[in-house]
Amino acid sequence: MIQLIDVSKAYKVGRGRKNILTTATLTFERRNIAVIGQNGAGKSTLLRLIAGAERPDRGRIVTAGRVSWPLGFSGGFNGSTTGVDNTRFISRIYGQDHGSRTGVRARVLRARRLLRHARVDLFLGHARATRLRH
Amino acid sequence: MARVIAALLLRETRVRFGRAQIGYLWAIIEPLAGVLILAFVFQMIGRAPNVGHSLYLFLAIGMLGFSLQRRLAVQLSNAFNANRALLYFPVVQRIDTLIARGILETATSLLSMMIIIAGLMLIEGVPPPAHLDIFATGIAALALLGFGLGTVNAILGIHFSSWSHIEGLISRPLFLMSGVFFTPDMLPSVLTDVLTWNPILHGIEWLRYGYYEGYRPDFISVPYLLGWGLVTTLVGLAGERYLPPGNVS
Repeated sequence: MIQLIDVSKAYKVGRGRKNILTTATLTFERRNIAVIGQNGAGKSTLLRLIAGAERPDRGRIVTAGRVSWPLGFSGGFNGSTTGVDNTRFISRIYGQDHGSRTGVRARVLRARRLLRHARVDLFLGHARATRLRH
Repeated sequence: MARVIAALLLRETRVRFGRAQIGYLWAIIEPLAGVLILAFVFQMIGRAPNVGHSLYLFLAIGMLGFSLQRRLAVQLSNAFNANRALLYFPVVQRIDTLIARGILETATSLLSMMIIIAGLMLIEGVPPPAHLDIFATGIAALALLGFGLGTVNAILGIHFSSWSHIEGLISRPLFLMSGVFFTPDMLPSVLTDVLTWNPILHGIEWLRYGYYEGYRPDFISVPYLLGWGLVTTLVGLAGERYLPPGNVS
């Protein structure tokens, strides 16, 4: 469960301010939820707030369980290093790197197996950037 | 936090120094080239070092001390931008990027310092530092100053987009004013009265005081240099903590 309690968040846009959330109190139950909105409405900001990548101006966000960093926002991965290096970095900051390259390899293999179910091939390793191919 | 800093350190080392073909060597080549060029000019005009016998050592201490401080001030000011993609991870905080860069730059500068001084000891037969403890604390004080200035730069940079240009303007004359190629006692007192406000000059003179036996400039004020380092660090970190996030662009 994810709870927003009295959360306000605003951005400076040019000279003005854009309010994304104004004293919002919301509860997300544990099920699949879609967030729909226009460009610039604050969908990504909401996710970043929930993930903790950004702080609310006011209010609290309470989460039960573990929350991933916002996936698929082009952030996070560095295109100039290899997929394995990126994976290792994430493993390290989350304390999941047990010091071995084989640990990372195993995780890469597992990811590849999972993605194969979705008919996606995963290329990691010595290529300069991570490529996904259908 | 230590975990994140370690991960950032490993990554920065790899990304930054891995890209250039000779990588880490640049950290040594840069100050070395500066020393060689200055030494060439000095020999052309027939000037002897102000302290000690070796012109190269005299210039190397100034150059290495200055570049330690400068590298930190510059690299930290870009820390948020360069790590923007990584700030998407909630566990990665902005301060982690500052600390990781601070460690990396200090370590790099120390390494180049050791290599260049060891090289001069071998080639020119210059003596090792006379008071290693004083020399080392001088390095630490300059590193603290660089960290503080870099942190302030980083914070000002996200609030005023033109800060990096202004900072460039302010810091350009500092190279000439920091005693890289002179000691204050050779200047007229009108000039030293002004230059005494420059903390970097205190730091470089401190290094020479630690390195040369019998060189004791009455000019240095340890509290003044440390004060600059501490105040800039505290102001920068307070800004990081209490100012609104600002724009990283």
